[in-house]
Amino acid sequence: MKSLRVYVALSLFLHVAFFGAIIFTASRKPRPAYDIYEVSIVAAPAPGSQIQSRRVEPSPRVPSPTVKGFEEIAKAQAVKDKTPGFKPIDLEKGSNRSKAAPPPDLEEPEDQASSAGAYPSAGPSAGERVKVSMWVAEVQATFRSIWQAPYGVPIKKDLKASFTIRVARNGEILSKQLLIGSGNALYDKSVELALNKIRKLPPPPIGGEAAADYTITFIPPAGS
Amino acid sequence: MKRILPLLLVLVLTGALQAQNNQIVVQAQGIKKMKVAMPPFVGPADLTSPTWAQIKKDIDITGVFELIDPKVYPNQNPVGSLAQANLKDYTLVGADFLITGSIERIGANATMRLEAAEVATGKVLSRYAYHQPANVLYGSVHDFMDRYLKDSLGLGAIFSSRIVAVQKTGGAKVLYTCWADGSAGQTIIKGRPGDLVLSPAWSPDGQRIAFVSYARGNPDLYLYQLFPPKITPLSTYRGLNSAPAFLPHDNKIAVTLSKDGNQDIYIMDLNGGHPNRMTTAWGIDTSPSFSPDGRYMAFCSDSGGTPQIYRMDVSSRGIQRLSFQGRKNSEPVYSPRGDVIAFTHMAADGRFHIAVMQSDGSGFKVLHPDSTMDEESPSFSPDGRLLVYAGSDGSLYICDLYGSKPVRITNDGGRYSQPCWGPLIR
Repeated sequence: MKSLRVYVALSLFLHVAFFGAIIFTASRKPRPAYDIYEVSIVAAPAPGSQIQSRRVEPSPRVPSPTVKGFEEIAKAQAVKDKTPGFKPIDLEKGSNRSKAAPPPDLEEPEDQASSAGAYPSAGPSAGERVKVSMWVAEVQATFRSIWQAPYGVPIKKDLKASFTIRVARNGEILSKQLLIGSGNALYDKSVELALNKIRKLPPPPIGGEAAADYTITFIPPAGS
Repeated sequence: MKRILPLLLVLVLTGALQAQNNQIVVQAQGIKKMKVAMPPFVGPADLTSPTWAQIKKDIDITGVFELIDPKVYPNQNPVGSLAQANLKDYTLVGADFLITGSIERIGANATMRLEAAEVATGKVLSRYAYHQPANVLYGSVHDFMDRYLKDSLGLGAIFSSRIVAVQKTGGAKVLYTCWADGSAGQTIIKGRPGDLVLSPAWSPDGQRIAFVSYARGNPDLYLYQLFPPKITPLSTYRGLNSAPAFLPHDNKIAVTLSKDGNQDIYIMDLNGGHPNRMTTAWGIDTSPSFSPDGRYMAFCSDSGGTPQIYRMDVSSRGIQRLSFQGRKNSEPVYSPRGDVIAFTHMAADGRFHIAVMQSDGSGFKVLHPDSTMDEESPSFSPDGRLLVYAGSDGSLYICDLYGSKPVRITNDGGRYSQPCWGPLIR
């Protein structure tokens, strides 16, 4: 009888240990989630860029980014995982950001930089959105105060010039470049002149980043 | 865990902010001209004052620049060079560009130095020195302004070109030319008392002018060669010989003749040979003008009942009516770019205005609908951005295609009409 109790206790212990081990193992399984996209973000647009992560391993389930476009991968994975807070469009924007390398004097530590694309499930909070909206409004007001469409140009609705600007955390404009011309050199030049007049913008809400790239598109007055 | 949580929070927040849309759209609140500051030049006043005034006038003519009144400059002293200028002074008054100049008299000659810079960056755009007789500095101003247009905004030259027009003096009408800004005007062909000289047209190389003269009692066409000066009859058919227009590439000219009864357009050699009838419609066909590639000919015809603008495909002779607005439309001229046709438009109120439309007839627009005087006979600048035309006050005006205020280029009280803007002279 005594030995039976021992066997029962042993059996109970072994069962507990067995199921405990299963639960423990299951809980340690890597989640096939956002790290996949992070690799795609970094690798797809600019292989070898400075913000490439070393810590994140690609999942075997993810097709090679060279075979499929990033957007396709992200959307397919999102559907598969049914992750509630996941928005492929957000990741797409993140990928755009990672294209431009930070200037040498503002290079970030690798750990911090590697988190650049690590936007997992949740979107920005309402407060953050307000902050960004306010900053954008300030930037628009700044440019509106110094730029107007130039005389001598046929003002049409589709006339627009886009410039990429890199803005430091303190608002300083580090660089500017014509991205898409309007097709009218005078119009583009007027925008360039306006950009040359502004050295500093309000500090952008970019968290810990040293600088961020923005595309500013200049369009003609309403009613044109 | 306590250490990891803040880090995770930072990462999530960073990502959230990065996920924001990085596109910013800025809509213009209006349109404006580029602002230019130009302090008085350094040098003898009898040279610097007229030169400064001429550049001011040329700045107005460009249609894209506007001079800031020197009275508002913090420093109103003459500035001879960019090195002497304090750019901050001009930033304060909102200048986009700064022009400085100095003139030094050396005997009968003068050395003029002109410079231009972008105020915001201090970048030197133009820096030129000219040495020439002191009484013809205007020529250097034309050269500088053309270079400045290109250096600052990448625009084509306009000032190194001449305008020919009809000038009424006493009882006669004579041919008159001046530079594009109205400087150095002179009469080049004087008719006898009572003579009429009309419809001048530049050749594409700027070496010849075709015109109509009643010297022999009939409206005949003549060709005036500038260097060396020589006049030869071009078309002396019985009846009307009028409205000459050179073809852009061929050594040919289009004219209106009535030798076959109707007023029709013919294309002929420059010696008057081989007249080839282009129009055969009932009514008057006149005022030909060619697209820069020579493919199309715009002209005026009243075959539809009122004078309107038509376009002919020169090779197929296919004709398309382009204008339908107002009482009548006449004197079409093709832009050197080929995209726009300017013409004289008679509005419903009976006033004449300069109007433009796309070369396919779309986009009709009266340039100065509120003008209190009649406007006639438009002609394009060499780069196609500007127009010269005659006002009913007898002056010549230059305007752009977007309705900004016209600049009067003649102010000697002469009675001018039928201007034609010639090609660049190099």
